Amino acid sequence: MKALTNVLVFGLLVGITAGELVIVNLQIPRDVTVTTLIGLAGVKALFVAAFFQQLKDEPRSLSTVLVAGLVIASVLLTISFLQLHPFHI
Amino acid sequence: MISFVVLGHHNFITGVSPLTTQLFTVTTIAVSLPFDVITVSMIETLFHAKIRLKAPALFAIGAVALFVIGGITGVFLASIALDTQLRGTYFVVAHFHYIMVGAGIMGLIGGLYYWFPKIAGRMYNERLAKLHFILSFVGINVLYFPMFFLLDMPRRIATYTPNTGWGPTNSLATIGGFIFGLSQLLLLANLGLAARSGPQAGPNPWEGSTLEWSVPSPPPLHNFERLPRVSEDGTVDFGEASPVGTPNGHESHAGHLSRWPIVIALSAFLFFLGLTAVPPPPNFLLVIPGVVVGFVGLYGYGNERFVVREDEETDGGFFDRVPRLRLGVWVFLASEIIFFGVLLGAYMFVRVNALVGAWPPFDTFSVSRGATNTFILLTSSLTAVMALTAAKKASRTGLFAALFTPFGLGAAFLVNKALEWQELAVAPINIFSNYPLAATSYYITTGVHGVHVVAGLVMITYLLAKTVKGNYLNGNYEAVHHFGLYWHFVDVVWIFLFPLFYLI
Repeated sequence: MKALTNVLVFGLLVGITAGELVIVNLQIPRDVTVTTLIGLAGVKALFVAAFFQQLKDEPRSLSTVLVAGLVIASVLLTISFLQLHPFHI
Repeated sequence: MISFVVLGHHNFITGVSPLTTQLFTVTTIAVSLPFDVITVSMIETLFHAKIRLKAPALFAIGAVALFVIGGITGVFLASIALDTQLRGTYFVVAHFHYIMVGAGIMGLIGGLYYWFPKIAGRMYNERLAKLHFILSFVGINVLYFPMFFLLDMPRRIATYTPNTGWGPTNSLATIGGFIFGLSQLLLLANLGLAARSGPQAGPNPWEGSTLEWSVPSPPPLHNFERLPRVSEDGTVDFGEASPVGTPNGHESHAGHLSRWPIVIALSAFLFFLGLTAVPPPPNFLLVIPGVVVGFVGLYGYGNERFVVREDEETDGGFFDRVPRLRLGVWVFLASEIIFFGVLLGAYMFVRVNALVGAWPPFDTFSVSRGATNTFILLTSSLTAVMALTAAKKASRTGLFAALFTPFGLGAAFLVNKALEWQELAVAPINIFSNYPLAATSYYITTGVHGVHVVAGLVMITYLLAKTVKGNYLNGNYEAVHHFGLYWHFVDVVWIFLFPLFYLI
């Protein structure tokens, strides 16, 4: 059962990657492409963490360690984004 | 927490946006507030105290005094207007040396004088130590205080014309430098002599009430045979507390005496010295021994018997249902997330601010090679999961196959990566000369990721060797699980690198 789930998750990851390759070639606004691709990467990462790294079966306290790392990384990313246009002279 | 977000005050006039400089001005001034509280608290400890101005106290109080001077001049530099004028001058040099030498070194010397009797079991000459303090304190001030007046002299120059008027002030600072430097010989002589033939210090020469003064000087190899209990009135009870170490005696003490950590530290020293400092960098005569010594050290440390007893007296609290080692792996992975977050932040900054034409066109980073590597890593992640399943089912062949597959796939990933790196570096693309910023962020980010893949391959090699010997099949498959956590993380990093570099 568990092995089947893992294979299904693997199939999903491959499918999303194939989707990414399709999206890149669509004639849609660049902002939409970039947001979708980063969003899809986030979804893939979530599936790897939940199923392959078995976070969904672990105690919640372990996920908080991961979330703490993500929060700090997000702060650092946000600082780099503050350099963007509205304020950038 | 605030001190983590002041780094931008080094970059006030580097061209970062005005908003950023304002933010960092606020944080830099904000961080002075808790520091004020600390400084006032340190001074407050002297009130109603029975102060004995022995050498350690002199150095400690002197350090606080110098720290105040360094701290107050730092507030000037937090202002963008003043910093624009003062950056790169001797004013800045004076400021941070008051902190680093004044507060840091003086505090360290104070600590050394305080605990030396505990370390050596012998007492030094107090008069000589006081003389050392007077000369150090005078020396530091004669050395650094004049520099505040050199606020029009650039740093890092050794020659200047007489009409600048900097000469006499610099001469004074030089004299101070010699006074401070030579006075340190007193410290070495005093402690050296005391270690040989100083009078016995006894267990508690300062009448201190903290735990280290309750054991003989120098302390025995294992400080406390039993966990001491400290009551609210400060009395220490060594009696009926639970025994320290394993129930069967002194076996666990060996863990305290490992020589391997220092070997591993030495390897890092050699490695980075060769990589950066000793010409020609990279100097492989140092880098390669550094790597070899590192592997020997890690292997030795890994093979050492290490007995850990979960402490009975504390409940596990928040993490009580998580095995300690697995928690450690996840904390490591969280730190890795922050590390790659920084790299991706740098990439995004460069990417978003790149001028038109400064970023290579689509498919310069070959989409087909990137996609191939994505499928390779995804497949290897699946096989890493299968390795854990095989270990749980105690299937040796299955485990061997499921570990060997990600090894092969990881190697294939690296070969594909190397070919791509090579293609990008040669004409007609030559990313280095045509798109230097893109080249830097691409090679650093994918390079660091590649190093992580290599580390994964080393782990698999270790696991394979252990599997051949028959390990991991008796329910003790935690190592396979931990490797999987790491390998999936490397996969996740690539999941983000692929769209960011190849698709957008």
